[in-house]
Amino acid sequence: MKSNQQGMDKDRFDKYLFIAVILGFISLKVSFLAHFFGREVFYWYSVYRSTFVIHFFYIQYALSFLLCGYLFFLGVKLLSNANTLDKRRVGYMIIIWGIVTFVFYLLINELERMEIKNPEIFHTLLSNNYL
Amino acid sequence: MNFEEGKYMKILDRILEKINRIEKEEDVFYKYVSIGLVLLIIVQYYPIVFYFFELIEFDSVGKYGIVASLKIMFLTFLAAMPSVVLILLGLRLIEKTDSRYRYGIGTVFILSGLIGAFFNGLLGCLEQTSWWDI
Repeated sequence: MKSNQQGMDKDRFDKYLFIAVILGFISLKVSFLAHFFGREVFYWYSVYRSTFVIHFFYIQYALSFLLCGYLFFLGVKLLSNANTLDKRRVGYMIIIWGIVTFVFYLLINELERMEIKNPEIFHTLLSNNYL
Repeated sequence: MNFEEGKYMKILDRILEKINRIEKEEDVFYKYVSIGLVLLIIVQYYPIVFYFFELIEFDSVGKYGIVASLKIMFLTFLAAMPSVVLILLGLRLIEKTDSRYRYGIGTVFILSGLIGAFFNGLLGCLEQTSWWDI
């Protein structure tokens, strides 16, 4: 690996940046699709509270961990190979994107899971503006 | 007169040269991308604004309040701003920079801007409808 001062060549840096942007772009869409499947499709087929749906959330956790983890990793890789201020800024932004998306994923998953497991408690909290 | 024209042309040439040099600099690409990423995050997570607005305004103003309704209209209008800038930035990225991946990243910016404008606008309209009708 080249030194930090020299950084990787422009083409490789841009390639990693492109992969990161595509990954960040699809990550939230995947989250919303999963949300849609979790709520609508399973509900239509009357398996809303089945064990499979609960397990589906674990699959989502794993997926979010992989997607956002890789996004974070790419951000760190870009940052460690950045030799200008603007390149470093791009690296920081990718890292922030990975963290924010992961937190958002967890929040959506947890709210969904909570609603499915304890709908009464969830709706009481919601109506009292605790959530 | 010729002297004056020459002088002005020289100044104009210098300005154009400076602009071209700035636009073709390698780091302009990364500057655009970093601004685009900030806007992308704002566009993607803008629905949270509606959520918090609902939490704050629900009890204090009342469901059918005209003030709350106007605020939602303003928030919906505000949602379009980063999306439009993102689309323009994507176009500028494709047009003005020289990276090999400018088309890919520029297309993602333009698509994100379009999708964000559509969904955030739709969400704002739905919020507006629910506040009036329910």
